[in-house]
Amino acid sequence: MEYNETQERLRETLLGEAKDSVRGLEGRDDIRAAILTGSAAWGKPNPDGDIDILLITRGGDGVCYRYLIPRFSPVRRRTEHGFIPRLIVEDNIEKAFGTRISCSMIEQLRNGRVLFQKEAEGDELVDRARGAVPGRFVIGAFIKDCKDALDELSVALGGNRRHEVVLAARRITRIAARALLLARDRTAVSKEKHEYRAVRRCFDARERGEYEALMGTADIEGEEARRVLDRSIEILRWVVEGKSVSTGLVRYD
Amino acid sequence: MLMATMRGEAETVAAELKKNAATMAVILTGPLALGIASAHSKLYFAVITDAEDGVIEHHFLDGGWAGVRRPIEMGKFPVSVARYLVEHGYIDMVSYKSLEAFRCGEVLWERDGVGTEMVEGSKRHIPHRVFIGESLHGAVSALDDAVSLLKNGDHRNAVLVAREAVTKAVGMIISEAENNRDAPFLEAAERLLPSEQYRRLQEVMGLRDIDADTARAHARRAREFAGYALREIGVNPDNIFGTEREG
Repeated sequence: MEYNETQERLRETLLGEAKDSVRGLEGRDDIRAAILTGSAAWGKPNPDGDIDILLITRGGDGVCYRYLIPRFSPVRRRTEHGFIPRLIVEDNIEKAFGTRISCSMIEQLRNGRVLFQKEAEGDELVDRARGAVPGRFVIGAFIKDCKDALDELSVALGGNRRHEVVLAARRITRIAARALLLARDRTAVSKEKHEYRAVRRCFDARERGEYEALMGTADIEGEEARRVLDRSIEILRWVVEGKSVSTGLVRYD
Repeated sequence: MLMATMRGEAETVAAELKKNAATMAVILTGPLALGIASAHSKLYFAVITDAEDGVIEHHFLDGGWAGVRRPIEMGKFPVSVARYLVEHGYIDMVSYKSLEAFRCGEVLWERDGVGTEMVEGSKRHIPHRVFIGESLHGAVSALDDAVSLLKNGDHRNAVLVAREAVTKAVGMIISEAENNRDAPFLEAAERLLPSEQYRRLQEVMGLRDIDADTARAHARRAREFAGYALREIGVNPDNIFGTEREG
């Protein structure tokens, strides 16, 4: 991926802030490595994004996330420190994409950037995540998902429910795309927003075109996208209000 | 019996927490506080402390704690941060989850009324005791992502992610109302959503101009795409499609 000068500067800034946030932790014996993850470490850095750091521990009380908030802590942007025991990290790498957490952890580590480490433990875990290969059961799960979605499609076709047919077709497309991503690039998609990024990286132009056509986004232009987002916000606001939650949660300019 | 056992465990955890001089309040929250705990429920606590580092800690104690063997989640909030959240309401996902935990809470122990202050203060923002699950968090978070994509000019993917957000949110309404995971999504949505919201849903999903021929063409192409993926991972598509393939 190529970056322009502004993005490079932002990346350096984020890296500096990330290092500052863990400086006081480096002397602790139980912390074996600090690994910067997320868009601050790879991809396109986001000026409004958080900084996410995995801290690999030995011993201690299990998993703990610490949220550093600028107003109260000496950080310039929201910073999350995830303290994860090494045994849990290893276990999730060994699960080889078999669970959502395993997918997420492998994805974070393989694109991680080591901030500090003891006895190369950070590099070792990043390498192991990069070498993780999907297990047979992952392929089995894909085949089952695919078969279930095809059955849904058949039922919708039989019932002449054209809108359900389109939604079932999109589900099949998504399942197939994720299988291709896993097989080609060992990219596990743990979040929706990661799917299109991986599609962009791993599919050729024809495949991308087919994916977009099937997902119904191939012809989307600016004005239509804005209209869809407006409608989405209205629906989410309605759902949230129905739950007696403050509407402030779904407010966008 | 279960509730009594869990309550005893919660009291044990609270007793251990209050030994720490920094602890100002122990609030029981989650399913047990709401009276809907099951045998598999975790114990959830919001702990207010006098720490001055401004850091919220979220501990996942899967093996239990303080002699209690049940999995525990424990959020620790410096009192200054907790007061800020209660005063300002929903400003992001962290404040949302925190206020939700306070709002459902039952104070097990406190000094200077700090626990009660948080529980009562958070109710200003959400007037009813409704426990919101992860689904809604996921939907709102996906919507945030979609808005960011739109701002960055990535229109197609903004729409893709917005559709996911809406599907999650509407799916939550359906699963709560019908307890039937197999109900066709749109049929259930049409039954449960006001007509105006259902029209919006169709628009978001890009379905309004779909006729029967277009739908059939979509189905054919999706099957071909699935076959392409299956072949690439070494599976014969005929074994999966069976006789339905030509349908």
